[in-house]
Amino acid sequence: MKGSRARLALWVVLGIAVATLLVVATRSGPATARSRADSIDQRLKCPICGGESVADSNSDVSRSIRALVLQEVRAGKSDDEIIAAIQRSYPDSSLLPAASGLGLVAWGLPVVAFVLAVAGLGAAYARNRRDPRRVASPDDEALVAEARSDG
Amino acid sequence: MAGPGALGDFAVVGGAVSAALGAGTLGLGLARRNSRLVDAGRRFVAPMCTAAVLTFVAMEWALFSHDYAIKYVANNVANATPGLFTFTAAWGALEGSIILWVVILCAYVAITMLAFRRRRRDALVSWALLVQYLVCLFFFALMVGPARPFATQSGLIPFDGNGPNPLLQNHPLVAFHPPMLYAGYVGMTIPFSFAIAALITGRFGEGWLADTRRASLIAWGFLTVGIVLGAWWSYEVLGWGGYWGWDPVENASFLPWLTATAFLHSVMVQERRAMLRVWNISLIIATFSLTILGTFLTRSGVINSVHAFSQSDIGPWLLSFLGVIVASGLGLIAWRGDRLRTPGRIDSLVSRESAFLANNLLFAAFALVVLTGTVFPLLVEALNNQQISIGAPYFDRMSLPIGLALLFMMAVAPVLPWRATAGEVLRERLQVPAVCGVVAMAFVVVLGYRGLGPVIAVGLGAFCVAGIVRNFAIAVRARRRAYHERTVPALARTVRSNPRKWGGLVVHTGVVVVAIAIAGSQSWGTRREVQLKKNQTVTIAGHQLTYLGSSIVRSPQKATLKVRVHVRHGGDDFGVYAPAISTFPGSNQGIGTPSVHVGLLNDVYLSLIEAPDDQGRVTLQVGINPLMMWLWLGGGIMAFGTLLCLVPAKRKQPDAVAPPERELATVGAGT
Amino acid sequence: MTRVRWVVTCVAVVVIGLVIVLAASLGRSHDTSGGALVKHPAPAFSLPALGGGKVDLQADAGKVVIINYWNDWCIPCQQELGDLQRLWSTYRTDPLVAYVGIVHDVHAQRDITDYVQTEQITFPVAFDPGERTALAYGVTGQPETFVIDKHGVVRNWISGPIDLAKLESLIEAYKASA
Repeated sequence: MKGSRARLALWVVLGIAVATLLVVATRSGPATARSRADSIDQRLKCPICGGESVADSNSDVSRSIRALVLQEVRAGKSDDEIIAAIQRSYPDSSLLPAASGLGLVAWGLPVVAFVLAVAGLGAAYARNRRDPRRVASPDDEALVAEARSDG
Repeated sequence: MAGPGALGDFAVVGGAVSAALGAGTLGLGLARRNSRLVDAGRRFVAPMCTAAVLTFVAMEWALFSHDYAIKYVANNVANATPGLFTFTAAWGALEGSIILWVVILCAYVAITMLAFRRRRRDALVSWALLVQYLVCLFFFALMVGPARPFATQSGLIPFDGNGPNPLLQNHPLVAFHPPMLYAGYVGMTIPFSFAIAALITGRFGEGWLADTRRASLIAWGFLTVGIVLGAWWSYEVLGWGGYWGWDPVENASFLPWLTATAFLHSVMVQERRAMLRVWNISLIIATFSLTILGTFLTRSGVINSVHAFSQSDIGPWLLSFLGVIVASGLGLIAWRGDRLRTPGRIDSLVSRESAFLANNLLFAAFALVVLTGTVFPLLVEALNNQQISIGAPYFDRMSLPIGLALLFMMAVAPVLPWRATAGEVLRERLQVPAVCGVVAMAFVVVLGYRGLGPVIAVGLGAFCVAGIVRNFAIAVRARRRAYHERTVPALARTVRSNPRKWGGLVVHTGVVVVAIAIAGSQSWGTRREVQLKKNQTVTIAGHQLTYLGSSIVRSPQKATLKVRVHVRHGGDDFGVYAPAISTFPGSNQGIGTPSVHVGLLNDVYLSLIEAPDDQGRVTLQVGINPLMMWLWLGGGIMAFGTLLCLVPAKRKQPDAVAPPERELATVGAGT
Repeated sequence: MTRVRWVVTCVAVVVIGLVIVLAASLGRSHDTSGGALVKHPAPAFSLPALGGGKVDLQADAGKVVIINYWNDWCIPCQQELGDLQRLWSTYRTDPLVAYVGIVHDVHAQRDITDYVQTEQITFPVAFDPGERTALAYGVTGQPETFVIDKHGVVRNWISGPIDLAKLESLIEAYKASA
């Protein structure tokens, strides 16, 4: 009994350690202008190079946009302002689907499908527990026999 | 007129006819239960495969003899193209890539038929062959019709060709990456054909899974290696410092990988507990459909892509083929629906089978994310007539939680027993790995690395690897005690006792290494654009870079401007690196070639953006990319693990002295 | 209907939808760049001019303005150079029309001075340091030409060399409109 209590204590300690480490891990210093500009560049699409981001592309336009973004960040504009300004002249320049309208489908579809699947499996499991068929029906026996004969 | 073109055309038509005759005869034989017709139908495999090989040989002959009367040759090689890239030009463009596809497909068919020669009268095998014939017929038909590789030029025959796409004559990896990827893609045909055959014959028990276990694993291994080599090629050639951009072409290869990985895991539940039959059949049909969908997306020109692929009019063909595959798959499942009902059930939420279920849900969700992100812009365009793009930020955000959850499952699932578990057992088995995970997290945090995603990834990765090591250690120790073996032979015999399980654990180790490398390189890297005068030095993330000078090298194949940069880090001299821009005749676009210092912890990645200006200043992009080497190594470990899985299992050892079952946590179905 | 059939039906519906979307995308062009400013107010600019001074869009308020982004090393730009010079000669005295050629390259300032002399270019040339103006106009390459009406609204966006006759008829139409 004593051993299992010590073991439980170990898990509690581990949990606390993980929580502390995670808090520390999120505490990076204040975002510099450059790191903010980098993250904006990653959200913008290079207007002339397929699906590449402004951050990844070395086309002339992308390099100009990078310089513009850095300047605007230093001028104190917010991320959304900067992106909106660029979208005025390059409408298709966000690499993220919009958080409204049709764009919500792109964000929500995988999540909704996942939740539905989990719910469905949960329901099936709950049904199994309520009605545990310990004795196989002749139907089941036949299926098992058939499966075995395939081998 | 004899020549490579005539031979090629003849071979293509011959292959198509063989596939059609084979399919027809076999189909008739199966429908009429006439074993003589079935036997006759099987005989067309040999001529079909010969035709495929001849097509490939004809293409190489045409390329090496610079037969510019053939359009493909004129467009894809030039007199000055080096031998290696002349050889690889055979799959550098659409028509040629279909030849490669067909050659690999025929190789798979031939090997499968050899492997099943003793069961050639078996209806399952015959139906599978029929499906394979039909797939072959489709691809041969593509070459007869819309993508004729040996089509000739109209008008004057040029004296020199255009040469390959500049990006495809810059790095020897083009010789390996496409064949590997295709071997993965195409290999999925085999399990797919058996799944369809199982549905038709009504033998959807565990038989077809056992029959295609190796084929699925081989295809999956090739696909994995192909994807990793593709990332490597991007990194070495494209010059933006990254290796994965969630580009449609990349997603097209990743989608079937995700469903195939789910399949490899869920088949174990069916083998062990006879559950998930419909699900497994659906997964493999989905995998095969996704290979065709991927080919459609990348080859029909519906999606803009960084990868310069020639567009063509095979789009409608591929889409129709996709429709036929999905329709027949779904139709067969609906037809067999009642009989597919599975006899097994899940007894406990904390058990191996529910861990596999969770794994499958996560992989399916991952695939859905990638599919949504890839196809959604097309949907918006069709509905709203509005152009939108979805890129890396979307995929990164959506896949991070899924990836971390998968890492967690990978750590916990292998210690879960089948059916049910007591919490006490679980805590005991996970204790040491969990401590390792926390220590690893603390280690990176103390070193000053930040960021929630990568720190959790490191922790879970260590958690998982420690669990795998513990598993190996316990098994080896048990063998040493029981048989008085030394460590190395004990390890080897442990693996031999159940290659699938231990190989699987090695693959998991590779996945962890890859995951940590991805997390680290995405979060802890630095990228700067710098402008340097001659002999000027700049310091980036502790690395000193000095621009030494530039030079131009000309060859008939290309003209290359090289810029020499001396790289140092603290007291270490990394030497001189020379990023370059090359121009190829027949293309006015300069192609950058990055130069990379590969290091154990950090790569120094240099690409030349602008040639020296009037004041002699060059513009360079400098990336300090952490852990890149581990990404490639992780891929190698995954490949090695896959090979281990393929080692034939040794017949069962005397079980009486086998290590205690309690400690034998298994990845695979412990046979 | 059994559960399996029900799920199969759902999946079939989704797949049919997907195939329809994909089929609809076949053959559609995906040229997304440029032209976003058409029917929108032209962004203001005040740029350093070749030979000193400033070129200011506001100074041309109430006129039809042609803005052409170009460069000395771009081959289609060289092809349309003669036409642009002719266009400028036609309208240089017209109080209702203004023309600006904006050089689209940060480093080109010195080269352009020589180039303008050898090619005997007389139309006004402005430089765009940092390409801020080009970005505001959504320029992706050269040459690109914008036609702005008397109310300061961008009416046309032309990518690639201009068609002189067509451009002239556009200018006349905008001049004539209220």
